Amino acid sequence: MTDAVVGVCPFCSMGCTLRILPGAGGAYVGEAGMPRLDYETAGGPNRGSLCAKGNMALELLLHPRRLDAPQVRSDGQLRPVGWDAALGGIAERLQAVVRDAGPRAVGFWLGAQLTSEEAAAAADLARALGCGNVDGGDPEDLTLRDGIQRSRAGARPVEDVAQLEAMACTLVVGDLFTLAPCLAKPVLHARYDRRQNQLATLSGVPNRTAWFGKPDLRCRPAREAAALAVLLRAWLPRCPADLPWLPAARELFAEVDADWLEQHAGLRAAQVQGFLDALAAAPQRGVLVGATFGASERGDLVGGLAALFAEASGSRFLALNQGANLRGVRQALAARGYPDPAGLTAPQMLEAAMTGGLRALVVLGCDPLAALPGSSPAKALAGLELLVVSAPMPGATGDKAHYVLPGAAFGEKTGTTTNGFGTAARLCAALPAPGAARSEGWLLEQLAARLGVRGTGAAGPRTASAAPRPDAGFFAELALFLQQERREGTAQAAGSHLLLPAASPAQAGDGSLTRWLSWPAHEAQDGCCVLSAAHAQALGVRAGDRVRLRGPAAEAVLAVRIEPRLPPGVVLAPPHDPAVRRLVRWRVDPVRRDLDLEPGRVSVEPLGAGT
Amino acid sequence: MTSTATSKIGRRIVLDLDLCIGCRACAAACHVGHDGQTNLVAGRVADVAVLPVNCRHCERPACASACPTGALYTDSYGFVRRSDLRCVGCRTCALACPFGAIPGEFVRHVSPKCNLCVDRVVAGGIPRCVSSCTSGAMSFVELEQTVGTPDYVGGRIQSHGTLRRA
Repeated sequence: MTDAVVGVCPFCSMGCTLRILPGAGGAYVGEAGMPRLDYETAGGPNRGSLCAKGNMALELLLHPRRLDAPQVRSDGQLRPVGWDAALGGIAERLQAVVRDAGPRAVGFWLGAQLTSEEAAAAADLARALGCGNVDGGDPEDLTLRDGIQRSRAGARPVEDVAQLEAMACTLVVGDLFTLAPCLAKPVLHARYDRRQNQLATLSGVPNRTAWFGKPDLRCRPAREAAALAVLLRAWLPRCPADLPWLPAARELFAEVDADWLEQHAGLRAAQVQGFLDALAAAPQRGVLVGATFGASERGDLVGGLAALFAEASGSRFLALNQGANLRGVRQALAARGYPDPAGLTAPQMLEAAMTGGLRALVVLGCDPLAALPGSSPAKALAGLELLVVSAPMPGATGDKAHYVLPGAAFGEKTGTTTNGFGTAARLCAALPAPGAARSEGWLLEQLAARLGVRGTGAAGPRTASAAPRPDAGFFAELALFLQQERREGTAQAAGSHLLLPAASPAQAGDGSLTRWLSWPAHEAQDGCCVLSAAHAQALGVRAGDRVRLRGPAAEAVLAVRIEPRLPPGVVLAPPHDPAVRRLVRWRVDPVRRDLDLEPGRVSVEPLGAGT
Repeated sequence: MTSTATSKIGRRIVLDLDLCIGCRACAAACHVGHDGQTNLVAGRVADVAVLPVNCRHCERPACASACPTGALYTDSYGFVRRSDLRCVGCRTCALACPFGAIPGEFVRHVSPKCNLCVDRVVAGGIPRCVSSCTSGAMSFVELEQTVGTPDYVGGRIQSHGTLRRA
């Protein structure tokens, strides 16, 4: 085998293509005849580039810790078992739960590592069982996605990188160059190669993307939602009169004290006028936003407001997610009527597991407990009658599962994946899955056969009372949020610091996939927490010393890095570290039915010199 | 060893300081492509930026002059390379390099010296770090043509004053 196979990078929704040269005989094959990675310059949004994670994609496929046999938990221990026994056991226990508690007690959580076809097969199976609790997306992405959906903004999407390159004025919200480094090539091409073009960045803390912003619109840390409200308010006089949401926006901003809003956001309307003039004059404009865990007080409002600002300003809009095939999975589910209005969303399933409303959960292609760690969800999932996890690597959810099934990774299965631009790509299997690992598509087909529900499931019973999803109206929600912020003020407990994510280009999302790669170990600084120079001096710590970040319910010990430009009252910490994630509070909003993430509040205690 | 003029390759890596986002994809590509040996130094600039420091493959390489075992040599393409068998890992080359382009951390007790991905370049390709670069900051260009451009300084395209890194 010497033919190169074009694959898709699994680590974010940029959908970068790469080449895998399998086995001996290829042009760049090493001594051991191992598969090698090469760069695909012919197509794909990356045009040959690959970030540090993407360069390591083959390591994941060839990793010695790959799950290669189904495992069943007995006497508290996971033990290898054959596929027949595993599938038979899962089918039997699923049927028992449906018989005893009805299909509402069963949930399917589909991660963005699935192909679109696999998501469709899972939806079909759930539909055939009469189960409404099906949702797709990694926890990392849910907040941003739900906010954009709820805003119902009609902005034109960015459809390919050529449109990014052609943009004369671009606003980037957050640190997209760290989330998806390959995005830098087209964005900076527009920024520098045409020289007259403008790239504005909006963020609360200095970061890799803000380096290039001109202007670099710096709001107060974690106040991106309020800052976008300032931008939108300042743009209102330029809005097209036929925007459906314009009256609601005008009403809201008439009621909000502009001076307070600007002070709260830390961004004055006068500061943004130059950028707004440039945006208005630019023939091609764009607004880009990305999902980052716990980066803002209300990540959903950030997504929604960015989408509305894009629509108002006639800009194209791009939201990048951590999950590679989030868009494909969501499209496949939508085609089958999911998320079911009467069913549970993904985080609600976690909550229902905690309260006993959910008795069986099938998790395919993601690791919810790695993304949302904490003792309660872990305890709840361990208490389920049936927890099935299919994944390529061991993980936090798998540690609690009754059945851990060895899943195939992106380079080992065929199917379709859709990137953040909406471009579908065909996945080809470059390598065979290790041992008895199988794709989730195969798993679902086998499970459907054993459950006797083979087929599309189109005739299966739909969940009753399909009431429309409660919709309080995006601007009403924003008004409520701003009122609440004003009421509660900006008081911060003495000694308490805002914990914001310091993501790394070597890690993806919750790190459940990238922590297995060898490269992050070389980037030692990426595992440190970042303190401002004044804060470090006050604590008497130097770079390399260790500190304890103490939150209300958890703590984390990390080495220190000092960043002179960090604003006071802020600590940055790596969001791929499970201990850091425990410091970020999350809950499911009862009205919006989505995931609420708040940046953590921590106190910092010095521990002494580092090892 | 002497070089053969007819087969010399004049292309070299040039870094545009305006474009580098400091993601270290180049170093990861080098690490993967050379079996865990990263031949690319992370240049940390006053705790403000991280830039790749790549080997310039000098015409008169100080590293080769300093090497006590003759392990570093200029090959027939004009690339400064390390002999696998002669290198004893003494680190003299790392000290001698005026650009600090040879990592101080030696893997397998031999100098992690950039070979300009000679396997790819002689086949008409470009080095892995350049291929991988996420922002287009690294390019693999004919040095003779680039040297004359006003912004070129020692393997770098100077910043246009917009580089703030803060």
